[in-house]
Amino acid sequence: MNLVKGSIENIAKNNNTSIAETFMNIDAIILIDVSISMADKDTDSNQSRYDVALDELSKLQNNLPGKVAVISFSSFPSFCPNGIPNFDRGMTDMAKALKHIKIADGCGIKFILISDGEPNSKGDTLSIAKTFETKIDTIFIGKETSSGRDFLQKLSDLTGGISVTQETEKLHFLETNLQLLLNA
Amino acid sequence: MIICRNKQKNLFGENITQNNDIKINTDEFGLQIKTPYSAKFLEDLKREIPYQFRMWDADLKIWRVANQFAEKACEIIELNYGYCPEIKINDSNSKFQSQTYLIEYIGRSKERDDSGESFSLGFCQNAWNIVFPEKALKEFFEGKADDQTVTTSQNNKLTFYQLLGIKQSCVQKDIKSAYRRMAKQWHPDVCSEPDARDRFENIKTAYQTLSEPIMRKRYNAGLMFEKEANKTNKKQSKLSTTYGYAPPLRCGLITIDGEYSVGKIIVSKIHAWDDWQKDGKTAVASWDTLQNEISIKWV
Repeated sequence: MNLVKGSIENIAKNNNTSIAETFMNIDAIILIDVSISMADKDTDSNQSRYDVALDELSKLQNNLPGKVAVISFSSFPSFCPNGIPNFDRGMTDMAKALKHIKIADGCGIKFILISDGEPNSKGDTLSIAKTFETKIDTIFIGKETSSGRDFLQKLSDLTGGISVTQETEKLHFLETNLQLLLNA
Repeated sequence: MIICRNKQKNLFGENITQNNDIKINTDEFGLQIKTPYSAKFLEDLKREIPYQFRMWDADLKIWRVANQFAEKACEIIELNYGYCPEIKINDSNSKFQSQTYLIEYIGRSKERDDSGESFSLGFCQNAWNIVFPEKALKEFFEGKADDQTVTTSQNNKLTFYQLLGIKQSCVQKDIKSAYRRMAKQWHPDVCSEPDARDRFENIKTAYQTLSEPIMRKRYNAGLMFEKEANKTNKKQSKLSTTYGYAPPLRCGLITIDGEYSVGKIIVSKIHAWDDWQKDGKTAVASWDTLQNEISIKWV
């Protein structure tokens, strides 16, 4: 699969418009962590976290055609117009990822950040998050009790957003949770 | 001062004597070359000397070559004919700055030699004698190369900024005046360009989007991400539609830096582009494909 149905690139091709024009009509940017920990195969289907997340994001884009932009991040953020997060397996530079989407802050686009770990620099990440007008909702992939969970809660609180936990064994409900956040 | 010498020798090591069929004169802009016909010579000339520095003079049946390529031209003549007359060329300062020309029509750009560069020709003083490099046109309308937005390779659509002929960094109040200017120039009732109707509709969409600050912000974000995706996927491409790059304006009083070269003016920079006006009306120039000529209408 190299183009998800309902992704920005797919819709742009179908409508014979540019990616920029299609992007104008999105409801949300999904910022998804693709650091090395997403290779863990601790989901209920024994697939990696990345593979399950990819399926769930594909479902979401298919159900909301042209409404969701996918940006993956690990050491660097990367816009994925084809709807498929680039699995870089790097570090977790969340601060850089937030800086990257800042250009879309304050124009009615929702931000949902999905991560299973702590960022390289908590301080930098929170400093940048503080500058956002738009709320940042977060989905933590992992156990409720881990420290990464606390950090994402803090990040959402800082911006007035919602933070939820998605246990790895129930990662196939990710799309459902994303829909709930989008409708919140 | 450049001197070209005959370097050829015959089998006995003697200098080859004059070939009266080859004549080279010089004027302030360069060489005037008359040779017997040779397909190989033409091929070499066109390959080695960029388009904007050579010209076939159909009236005199000579090739004109700019001074800076005189030595190269002599080499090509020697290679093909075994002989090149001795000539003396006076270096002249052919460059100029900030001169204004009335251009009645600028065509679409296309590659005219193997350099990979594209040029548009401008019609001025009854001749197609002003050469606009595509990069000079884009720099004027879109800003420096790094600032230029690029179209996606998937459908080569112009950006909203390109459609309105404005830079992405322009202030909000400039958008309306740009829209009025472009709408006048591309209205299908007065513009005969083949894509006028589509372009006119796209200009309206561009204005509706960019005149709303929130939508403009969304669009700018989309452009940034699209540019990033194109770089990553190495999809960045020159704008190449079926017709070639068409500047958003096709006529006007244009102030340029440039240089004179073999009966042409080569533009290096555009400073200003004002409407061509007469008796309170503005000229709209387009290419009438039925008549195969420039059509000027006054609105």
